[in-house]
Amino acid sequence: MELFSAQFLLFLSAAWCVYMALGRVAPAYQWTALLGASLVFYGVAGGWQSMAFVVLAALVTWGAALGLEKLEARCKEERKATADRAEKKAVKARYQVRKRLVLIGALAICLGVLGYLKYWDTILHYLMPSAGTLGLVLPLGISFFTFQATGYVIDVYNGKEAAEPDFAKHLLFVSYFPQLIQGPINKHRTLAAQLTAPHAPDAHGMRRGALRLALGIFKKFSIAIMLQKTVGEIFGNVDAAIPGALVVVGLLAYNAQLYGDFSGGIDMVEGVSELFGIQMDQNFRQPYFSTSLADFWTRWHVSLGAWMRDYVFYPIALTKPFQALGKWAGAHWGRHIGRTIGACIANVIVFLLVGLWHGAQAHYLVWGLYNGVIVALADLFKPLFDRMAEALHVNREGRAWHAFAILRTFIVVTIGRYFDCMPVVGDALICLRNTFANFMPVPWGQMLEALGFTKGLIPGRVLLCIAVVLVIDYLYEKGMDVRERFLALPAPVRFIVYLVLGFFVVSSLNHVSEVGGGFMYANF
Amino acid sequence: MRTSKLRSALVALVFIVIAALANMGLTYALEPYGTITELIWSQYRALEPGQIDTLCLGSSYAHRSFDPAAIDSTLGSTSFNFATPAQSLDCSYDAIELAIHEHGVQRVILGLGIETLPEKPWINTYITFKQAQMEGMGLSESIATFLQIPLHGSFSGGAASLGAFFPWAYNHVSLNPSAVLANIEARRTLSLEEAAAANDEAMTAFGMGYCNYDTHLPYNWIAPGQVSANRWDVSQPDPENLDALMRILALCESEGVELYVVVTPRPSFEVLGFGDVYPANMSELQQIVEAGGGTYLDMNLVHADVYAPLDDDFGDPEHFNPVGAARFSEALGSLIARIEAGDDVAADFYTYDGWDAYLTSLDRISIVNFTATAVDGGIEADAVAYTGDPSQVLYRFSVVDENGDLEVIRDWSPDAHLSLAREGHGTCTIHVDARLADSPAEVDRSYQDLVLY
Repeated sequence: MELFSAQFLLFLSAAWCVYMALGRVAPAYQWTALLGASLVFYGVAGGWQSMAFVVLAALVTWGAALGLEKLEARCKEERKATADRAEKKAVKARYQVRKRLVLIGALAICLGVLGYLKYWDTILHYLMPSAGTLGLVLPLGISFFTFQATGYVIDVYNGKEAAEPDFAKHLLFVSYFPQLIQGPINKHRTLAAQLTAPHAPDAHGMRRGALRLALGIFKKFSIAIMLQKTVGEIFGNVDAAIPGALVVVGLLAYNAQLYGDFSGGIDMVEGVSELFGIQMDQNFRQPYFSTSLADFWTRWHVSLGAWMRDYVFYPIALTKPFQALGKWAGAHWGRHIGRTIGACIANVIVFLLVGLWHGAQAHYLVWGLYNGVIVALADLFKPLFDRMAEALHVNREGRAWHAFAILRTFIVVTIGRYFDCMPVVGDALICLRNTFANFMPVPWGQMLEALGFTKGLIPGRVLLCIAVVLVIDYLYEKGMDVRERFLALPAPVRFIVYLVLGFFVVSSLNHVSEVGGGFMYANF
Repeated sequence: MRTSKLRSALVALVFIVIAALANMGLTYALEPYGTITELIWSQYRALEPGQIDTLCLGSSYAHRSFDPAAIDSTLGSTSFNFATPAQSLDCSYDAIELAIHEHGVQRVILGLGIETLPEKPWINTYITFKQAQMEGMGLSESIATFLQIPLHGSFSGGAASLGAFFPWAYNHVSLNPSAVLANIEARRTLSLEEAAAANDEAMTAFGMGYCNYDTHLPYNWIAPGQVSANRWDVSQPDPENLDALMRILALCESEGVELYVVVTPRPSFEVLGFGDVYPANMSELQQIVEAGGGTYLDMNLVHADVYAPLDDDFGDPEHFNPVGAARFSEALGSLIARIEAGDDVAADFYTYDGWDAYLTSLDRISIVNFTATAVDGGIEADAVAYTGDPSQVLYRFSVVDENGDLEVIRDWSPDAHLSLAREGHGTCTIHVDARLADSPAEVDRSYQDLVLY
C-alpha cells in the first residue's frame, strides 16, 4: 500500500475516524487505535511475515530498557545500604558491567538482525562471487525502526529516559505507521508522550497537516517521479564516452529527484501524522541553502544525523584514547588541531557508517568517506581558511559571500552524489573525469541523438515545479512560516493554488506506471 | 460557532463540487475522443443479438492479426474482432462472458504472445476498456465496473488505483492548445468512426471490430532496443494474468465453447531474441491451455507449407499490416476448419521439445544490429545476426562519412566483434552488413547507428 493510493486514503480516513471517535468515548485508550492502525498498515504494506521483525525489535528494546532500569534501581539500593565509599564504587562498577551487558545484548540482537538482513547477501557476494545470494528480503523500514528502538535503549542506559512499562505503548512507539516507510527516526522523549496523549480534532492543525501532505505529494510526483526515468537512462549505461555535460544535467536532476522523493515523502508522513495531532521529529531544514557540508548534514536527514551524533559521534569522540590523542596533538601540532583532531576522526567514522547504513556496496562507502573527509578537513583547516579570507579582505558577513557559500556547498554535495547515484565506483570515476576532461565533445543535439534521447531530457514543467519548491524553501529559510501564511490567504486563492498544483500531480500519474511509486529511502 | 462551522462546511462542499467539475472538464477536453477501444465497443454494441458465432480477442497482437472477413472466408464463420490495445486477460474474460451471453458465440480465438502472461496489465488501456464497457450500463453496474479499477490486483495499493478518478492523466491528447481544441471540436462534431479515422490517418477501420495500420517493417533499421526480448521481462508469469487465463479456460469449457489460444506470428528475430526462454515459457503455456481444454496453436512454429509470413506482411516487430493479417487469418481459418473437421494438425507444427528442428528451418537472416560501447581509445561493437544458425553468418563493418558514403573498415568475416580505434571524442556512424556464407545475395541484412565515443 503506497501513500498515494486509493487504499491508503481509505485506510487513513478509517484510522482517523476510529482514533477521533475513541478519543471521544475513551480518551485514555485512544492510542490503541493508532497501534491497531500501525499494525494493519505494516501488515498490508510490509507483509504480515515482516511484522515479526518490528515486534522483535520492540520486545527486545522494551525488555532491555526495563532490565536496565531495574539494575539501576538495585544499584542505588545496594549503594544506599553500604556506608563504605570503596564498596559503593565497587557496587556501581559491578552494576555498570551488568547494564553494559544488557545494552550490548539488546544492540547485538537488533543491529545483528538488521546487519544480517541488510548486508549478508552483499558480504557473501564479495567473498564468493560465484555463489548465489540467499535472497534475503529487507523488511519495510527496518533501518528506521531499529535505529529508533535502539536509540531509546541507549537513552535509558544513559539515564536520559525512563523505561516504558507498557509493552503495547512501546510497540506503538516503534511501529507508529507514518514513520515506518522512511523515518524520521524519532526520539522517544519527543514522540512517545504525544502518541499516548489524547487528541481531539483540531481544524487548524489538520489544515496544516493536509497542506504539508499536499506539498509532499507535489514534490514526490511532480518532481521526483518525473525525473526518475531520465536519471535512470543517463546513468544506466555509463561508458568511457559519456559527456560531462550530460553527467552534470543528470546529477542536477538526481539532486532534485532525491530531494523531491525523500523530503516529499517525509512531508507526506509528517502531514499524515499532524492530521492525528502528532508532530514527528524534523528531517529537513532547507538543505540546499546550507553554507558548508557540515551545515548541510544538519539540514538533510536531520534525524539520522542526530542519531549518529548522539550514539556514535559523541561516544567515540569522548573516549579516553581520543581525549589522549587530542592532548598529544595539541602539544605537538597546536591548540586548534588538538581540539579538533578527535572530532575529525570521529566524523570520518560517522560518515563511513552513514555510507554503510545506505548499503554495503563500495560506492556508498566511498560516498561516506568523501563526506567525512571533507567535513573533517574543513574543520581541521578552518584557521587557514580564516586567515586566507582575512588576507584577501573577504567580507564573510555579506550577501555575496553567503550566496557563494551556498553555491560552493551545492557543488561539494553534488560531487558526493557521483558516488551516491551510480552503483559502480568505476562508473562514478569515469563520470567525474569526463565532467572535466570531456564536457561536450559534440553539439548538445547531436549528443542526445547519438545516445537515443529523442524526446529531450527534462520537461519544462518539472523545472517550474522545482522553482516552486525552491521558492517555498527560500521563504522558510527567511524565517517565514509558509504554511501559516498560505492558510491566511483567501479561500478562493488557496483553492486555485491547490487546483494548479493538483493538475501537476495528477498529470504525472502516468509516469508512475513506468517507474513505480515507491520511495528511494524505503530501500534503506 | 455553529453557523461558522456550517459555513465552512458549505464552502468546502462548493470547492469540492468545483474541483469535480474541473476534473470532468479536463476529462472531456483532454481524453482522446475516438480511441480504437471506443470504436470497437461501439461496433460490438451495434451487432444484432446472435449475429456472431466467433469471437477473436486479445491485445494488439490479436487486434492486428485477426481479420474477421478473412477468417470467415475459410472457416465459414461470422466473427468479430474484440481485441483492443494492451487488453489484459481479465478484460478478455469480460468480453468473452458478454459475447457468450449476448450472442451465444461458439468459438473464441484468443491471440497472445510470450509477453502476455508476464506483463502486468497497463492502467491506461485498462481504464479505456472499462470506460467503454461502462457506456450504456445502469448505475449499479457502472459503479461495480468502475470499482474494478482501484480494486484490481495490479493497481490496488498504488497510485494507479486513483487512475479511475482521473482518466485524463493516463490518456490524453498532446498538451498544446490546438490539440485540445481539436479534441473538443471532434467531440462536438464528429462521429466515433470519423474521430477514430481523424486521430490516425494511417489507420483503416475494416468493420467487425477490426482495424489496422498500413505500415511496413524496416528490417535494416531495427535497433537492439526494439527487439522485444530486450524490452520485456518474461521471466515470471503475472499471477493475475494466470488466474484470468484459467478463468477463461474454465468459462469456455463450462459453456461448451471451443477456445483456440493462438500465438500470433512475428518476424523470426522476435522469437530468436528470447533464445531458450521461448520454448521453455511457451511449452508451459501450452500445457496450461491444453490441460484446461483449449486448443493451443503457436503460429510461429507452423510449417512453411501450411503458412509462412512474408517480410512485407509485418507493420512493426510485433504486428501485421492489413495484407499480412489477411494472409494469416485465411491460413488460420483453414487450420481451424481442419481441426473442427477432425484432422490432427500436430504434425504441421514444430515442437518446443524439438526446438533445433525449428532453428534449422530458419535459413535466412531476419535482421542484424549491433550494440556499441565507448572505451578509452575507441569503440567496441558487437553485432548480432538473428538466424537459425549464427555460425554461418559473415559480417562486414564500415564507417559512414559526412556524405553518407561507406568506407569498409573490415571486410567479410565470421567475427561479430569490432574494435574501432578513435582518438579524442566525437561521434561516428558505424554500418554493419550481414550475409549467410552460402547466400546468393551480396548482403542479406544491414544496420547502422550513430555512436558517441
